[in-house]
Amino acid sequence: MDDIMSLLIPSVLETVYMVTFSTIIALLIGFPLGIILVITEKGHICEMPLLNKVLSTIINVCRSVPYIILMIVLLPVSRWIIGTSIGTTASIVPLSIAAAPFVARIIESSLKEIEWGKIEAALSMGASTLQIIFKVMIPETLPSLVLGITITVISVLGYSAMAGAIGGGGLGSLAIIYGYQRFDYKIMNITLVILIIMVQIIQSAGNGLAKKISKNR
Amino acid sequence: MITIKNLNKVYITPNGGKITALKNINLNIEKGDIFGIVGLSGAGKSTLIRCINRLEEPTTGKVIIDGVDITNLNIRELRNARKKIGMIFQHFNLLNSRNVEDNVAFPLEIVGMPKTEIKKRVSKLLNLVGLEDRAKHYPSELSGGQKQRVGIARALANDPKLLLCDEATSALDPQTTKSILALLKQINKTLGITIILITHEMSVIKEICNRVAVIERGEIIEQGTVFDVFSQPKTLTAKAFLNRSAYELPDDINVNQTANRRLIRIFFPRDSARKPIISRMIRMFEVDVNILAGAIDKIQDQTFGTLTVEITGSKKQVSGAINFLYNENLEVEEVRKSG
Repeated sequence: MDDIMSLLIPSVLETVYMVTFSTIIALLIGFPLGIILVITEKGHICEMPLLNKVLSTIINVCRSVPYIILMIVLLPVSRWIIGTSIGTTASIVPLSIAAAPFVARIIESSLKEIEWGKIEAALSMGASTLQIIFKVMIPETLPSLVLGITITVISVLGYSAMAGAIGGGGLGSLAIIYGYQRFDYKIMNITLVILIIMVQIIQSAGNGLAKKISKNR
Repeated sequence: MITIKNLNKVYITPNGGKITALKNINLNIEKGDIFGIVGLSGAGKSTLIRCINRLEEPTTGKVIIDGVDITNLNIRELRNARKKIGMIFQHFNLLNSRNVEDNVAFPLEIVGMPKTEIKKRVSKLLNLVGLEDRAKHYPSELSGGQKQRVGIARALANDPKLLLCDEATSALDPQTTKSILALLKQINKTLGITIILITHEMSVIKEICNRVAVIERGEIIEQGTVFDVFSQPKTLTAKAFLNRSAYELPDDINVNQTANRRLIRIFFPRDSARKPIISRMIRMFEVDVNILAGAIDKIQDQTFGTLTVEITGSKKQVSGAINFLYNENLEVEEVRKSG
């Protein structure tokens, strides 16, 4: 039992580490892109149809590349940024880059839920573009944004398991090394149960937070 | 105070077609006016009011407010100008993420007012609209009328000189509409704010406006004081907005005019509505008068009446009777068809 625990605990921590940092970086890239996608649309507060079209196309292209291929393509990038292409820290690079366009779309669709009238009201008061983004669009769609970010975290968790295939560490590599390569189904099943529990916790936390925010609305 | 000059708004459809939403609009609105723009849905009134603060960009023409041509301002200048133009909306457009006091504080945050001053100003504004006790409530906990009061407090936050009302009472029941209109009237009187409102409800215009423009298919077809426009409407649209009972006749009424039988509509301007002109006419000319429809209306404390009658008698009697009406300074028009 101690053997199993000594395998599992570091793997869980590695996974948490990868998912946390990848999600943060993906949000840092994807959130602004999502905002830009919304406000540069025709008729919105910062109309720039060409930029919108180009950005949207790039995001679609990125999202079309299967994650397993993206990881391999980005190996040199990881090596260049982190210094190595193997290990948990190195896998944060492809994870973030894969999740960023996903985040952009999720944020975009949440921000679009706002009624135009509210933006119009802010415009009529002389609000600037930044004021509208930070005082109107984001606060008004916050519950939906939280749920969107929850989906992102869960997706990144799924991707992080895949990173195990190319030596990424975490629960994914544990499952692959023990389950796939050594036929040790016990370890693999435990890993699966842990992943299921993690997903449940993340989703419940997200739902709870979203509910709390929208309590008074 | 506000001059709209040759304003046009043309939309280009995706397939290259043109839709003229506003055509050569010219309006003059004086300081302290409550100016109503009335029209059926799709007439262009919403576009027109949005051109005043450039939520819609006019295609050509000028909007001059206090000597400043709004259409010439760059985006920064426009934002500053907008801070002095309040606006309220049909669906209130309050922020659900903020409670009542924070909603009212929003425009003050935009101009960068210090927090302590915002607090004072907000409580004053909530007092003005009668919502002191609702400060901590969220919009979802308010009735429609209360939401619009918050909207009004928010619109007044930065001491505007002009208030634009975009169908502000159209989502409210008649009782609440009355109270909101009373509040607007009070604001106009006590704060001296000029109000421009658009509506499809004649009752709103009658209740608070002093001047009115009727808009149809993007054009102003009539304008003037509320009394003049609605006591003697010249166009069908203006008539349609009047009390319909005075205009609608049953379908089976014979509208053929003969020398012995005339079907006419009589407008009694101002105080002549109180004089017994019809009974005098009957006595003097011995004609038979059959009243088909009628109404007495009150606009801004002035009475006027509309009466649709059938006059029968000899040729001489009938024409004499109608001349008599003209001599009494009444407007008379022949009824051609019902409606």
